[in-house]
Amino acid sequence: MTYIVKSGKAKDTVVYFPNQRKKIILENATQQELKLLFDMKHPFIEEKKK
Amino acid sequence: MAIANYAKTCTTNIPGNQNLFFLEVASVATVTVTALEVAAITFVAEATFHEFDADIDSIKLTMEGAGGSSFFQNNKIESKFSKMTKTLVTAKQSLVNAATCGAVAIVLDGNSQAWLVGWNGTELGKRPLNKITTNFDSGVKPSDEDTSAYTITLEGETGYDPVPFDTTTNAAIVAGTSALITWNS
Repeated sequence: MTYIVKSGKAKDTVVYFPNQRKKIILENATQQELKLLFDMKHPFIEEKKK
Repeated sequence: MAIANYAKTCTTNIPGNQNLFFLEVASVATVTVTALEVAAITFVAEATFHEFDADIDSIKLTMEGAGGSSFFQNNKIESKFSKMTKTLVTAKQSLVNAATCGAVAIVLDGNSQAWLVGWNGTELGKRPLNKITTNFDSGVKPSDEDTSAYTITLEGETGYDPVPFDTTTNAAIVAGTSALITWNS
């Protein structure tokens, strides 16, 4: 399974984790980070079967 | 940040606010920002913002800032809720509890723009609305206008302004369909 950012959503988009002082820039996100966001039901991330 | 041009937009400005929603800051898992606007929020354990039906024309958002070599700003939301009931007491107590560790709010203003208050892209969730003031006045007779109401004020000291929601997310809040919020039916 791979995780992708929905079209038109990646540019300049930053996901902030308020209580962890961490941020993910969607354009540069790793598969691990995208999976983390998908598991959190982030509306911009979708699962793609290989 | 260098000073840049500011051009006035020639559209009607409508003061005041329409809706108010609160959530404990600890229930916010992530905030997604595109071009300085909130594009999405995810939550811890299926939480959502909660709608607080304030009296019409009673929600006031103020931002009072001062500084020179340093700067601070106090972001404050004041709202009024008429008629003391068991439900109102419970709702008020939930805000009192939330203030302990901080709350965030969505305020939908008179121009139909929603703002995330108590969170920003620099301090993140570390400077939420963490001070609460409550005031109830029963009034003395039926004709005492604007009494028998709880005035609840939540505020927080920060260095930054509230953050606006982007067009898509804002439209869902205006329409009353946003999944970020548990709506009153």
